[in-house]
Amino acid sequence: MTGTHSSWKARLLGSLVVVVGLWPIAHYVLVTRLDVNPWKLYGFAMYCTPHVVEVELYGRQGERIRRIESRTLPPEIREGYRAFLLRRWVLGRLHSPEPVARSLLETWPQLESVEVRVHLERLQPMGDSIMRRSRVYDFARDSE
Amino acid sequence: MALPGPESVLRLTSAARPAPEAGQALALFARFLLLHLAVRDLVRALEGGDPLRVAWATGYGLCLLVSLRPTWLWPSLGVALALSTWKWIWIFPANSNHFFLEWLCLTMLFVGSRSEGDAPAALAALRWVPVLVLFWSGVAKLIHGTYFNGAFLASTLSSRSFAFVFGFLMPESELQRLLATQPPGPYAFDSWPAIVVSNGIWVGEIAVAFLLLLPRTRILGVVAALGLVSGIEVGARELLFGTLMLNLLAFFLPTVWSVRALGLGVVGYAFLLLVRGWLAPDWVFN
Repeated sequence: MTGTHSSWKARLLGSLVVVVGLWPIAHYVLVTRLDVNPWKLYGFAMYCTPHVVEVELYGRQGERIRRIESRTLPPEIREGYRAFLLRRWVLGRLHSPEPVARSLLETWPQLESVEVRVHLERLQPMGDSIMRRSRVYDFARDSE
Repeated sequence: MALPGPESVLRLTSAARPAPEAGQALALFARFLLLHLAVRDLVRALEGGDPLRVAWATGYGLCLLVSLRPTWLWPSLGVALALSTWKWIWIFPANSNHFFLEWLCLTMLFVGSRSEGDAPAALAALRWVPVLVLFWSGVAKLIHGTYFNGAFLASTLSSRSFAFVFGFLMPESELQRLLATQPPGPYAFDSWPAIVVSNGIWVGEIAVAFLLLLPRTRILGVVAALGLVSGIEVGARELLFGTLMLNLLAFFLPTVWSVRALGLGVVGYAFLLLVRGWLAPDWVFN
């Protein structure tokens, strides 16, 4: 019985094992390069580091820049914003904030641009502190 | 010389047991998995999660009932797989690794349960699951470098039940200091027993994966894996995942252990449902 797996089903099962067995390598690259959540996307890297994502929205009107609190968002945008938060938390930079910014620009015609600041907190590798890294995305109305 | 096909990886975990016995082990695990899927969604539904959880739990529960008639096992696995694939798409990208393992096991069972001749290959594939999970979990902790000084565990002491475990491994003053530490830290253990345990986790996970892979050390691997998973259960309370792992590990033992693991799963899940629904609804477990 041992060692005689030769049907197409055995090839399929073997392929599944190979793909699942090699995926964590690609997953690690996504986690370290594109801020993908190590706890998600099937790379078995749970309990390695906290992965906290915080998002801030800012609107610019002339010289004035004001923070847009998520609780003040209209319901139709709030839903999209919540979906963005979840997707960004899991998919990292694979998920762009552009749709959220565009919907804000559509809702508030007086805004000239929208800035999305994404903060990611993780443990410093080989260290003992939580590092906070930030990315700022600027979406101007002109570039629509 | 032709390159070996992907099926050659199954030789590494092949079981020296006849196809009927392999089929019996798969059938037992299939019933366990359907129960597991139903219970997991029911627990989430009782916690007030997505209302669809009730529908999924009902679907898996019906699949389990239908699967009790042996000739209906394979179709019921097909329906459960379709249900899980829908669930995957519905929840994506927030699906957990635990969910992915369930889907993977269902797929392997579905592919290997149609005819008895395919059972040994499916059994070998399913044996790979705990090996891969343990190996990559250990490697991930190693390459993220957050276990050498206990930084990860120290950073989660206040939010998880790890404090209960590490309370035994360090002086009260150190525990209180770590519990009071706010981000960004510093988070690190000073006590050597805690540092040993922290490093023992990733070393243990990688070592157990190899012990399970090598035919001569499999029994030792199962015993060590049970110890490791039990230790993780005490800290992380991943009780549903732990029971799934227990049933997967039973594949490395004679089929009678699959019967025992299934029995333990049935009793354990009945108890967990009682806990979540009635005895202690606020007690946290996964």
